[in-house]
Amino acid sequence: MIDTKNIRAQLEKIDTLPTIPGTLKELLSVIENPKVSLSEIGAFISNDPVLTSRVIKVVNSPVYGFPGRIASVNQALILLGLNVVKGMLLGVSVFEAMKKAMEGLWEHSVGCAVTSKIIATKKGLGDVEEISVAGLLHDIGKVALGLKFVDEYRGIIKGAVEKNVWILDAEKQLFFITHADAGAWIGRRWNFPKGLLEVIEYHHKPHLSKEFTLQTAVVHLADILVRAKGFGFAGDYIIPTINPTAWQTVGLTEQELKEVIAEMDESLAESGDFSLDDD
Amino acid sequence: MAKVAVANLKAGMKLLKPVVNETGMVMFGEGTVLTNQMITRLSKMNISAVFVEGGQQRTKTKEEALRELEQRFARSGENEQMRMLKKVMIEHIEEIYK
Repeated sequence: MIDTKNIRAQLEKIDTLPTIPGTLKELLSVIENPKVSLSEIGAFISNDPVLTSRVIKVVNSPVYGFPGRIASVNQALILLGLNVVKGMLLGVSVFEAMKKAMEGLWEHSVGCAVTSKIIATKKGLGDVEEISVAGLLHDIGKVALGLKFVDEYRGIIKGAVEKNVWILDAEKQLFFITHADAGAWIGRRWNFPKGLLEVIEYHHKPHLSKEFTLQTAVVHLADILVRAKGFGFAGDYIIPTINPTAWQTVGLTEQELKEVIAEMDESLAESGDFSLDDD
Repeated sequence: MAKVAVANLKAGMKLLKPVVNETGMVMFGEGTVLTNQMITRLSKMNISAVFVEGGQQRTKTKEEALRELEQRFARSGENEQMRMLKKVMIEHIEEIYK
């Protein structure tokens, strides 16, 4: 039986789980430090060949889609900047955990990253990479819940699918909290960048976002478009309803929406089996 | 015409568009039938996907695609934006199956 009062405390101690890989623990301690510099992060990545190869893979993937191949970690760090790098490292480090927590969640997350990027580019937004990485990590709370409460969370997914309810409602029923709350807690615990935190916390309630309204609205919409396409799996078979405030914030016309959906086809096909499995 | 990720290419696939390198030089011309060696070379270039013949093997018919779309939307909330999204998605399916 779950002690709901202590869910938060248990999630915040998630780094002590034996199933959390060592690199992620070290990485969290690096990210947690608000004064960490790009060069320290660079040194941390370079010390780990697996992490290095994953970083190179991800910066050259459709998630970012930089023109020209990025060959070194330093080049990637300079291009992306501190906030994006922190998020990207989290993304590559939770890859296995994500696959373990929920079959299809990685695909859903990559799909959201790619779609967030397409929308942000279409609207000419400045921080495209930051929005994309927020798309990749918006469901990190599902990973946390799935790792900490393995059987319960499996039950939640099974119930959501069989009874055709939204995963968010199924989570509330059992835990009295949602993956958005869970993600926000662990994100605060490890000093995630602020924009990323807001996206994680408010991607289902984008009207409550305060400082990063646009980023949150873009990821909210991307999440819905990816589900509408039937790409990946996010825990249920329900397309959440578009929040009208968020829709206005993003400001897509019907024609632009059409273009976004057509561009998604191509990018999702390319990212379809973008995986970080080490070859 | 379909774009296929380099990782998914198989020997025998035929290029629908030429593949150029970073300087714009044509590496493989249109109509080239790919060999394993060429695929290895492609995987070392800065290219994520190429256009090949019959790349995106359609696994479902238009009717199936529309029916699945209908099912996905069946339990979602109703508002102006959702109606627009569904309409655009239907038009998109009609378009790609033309």
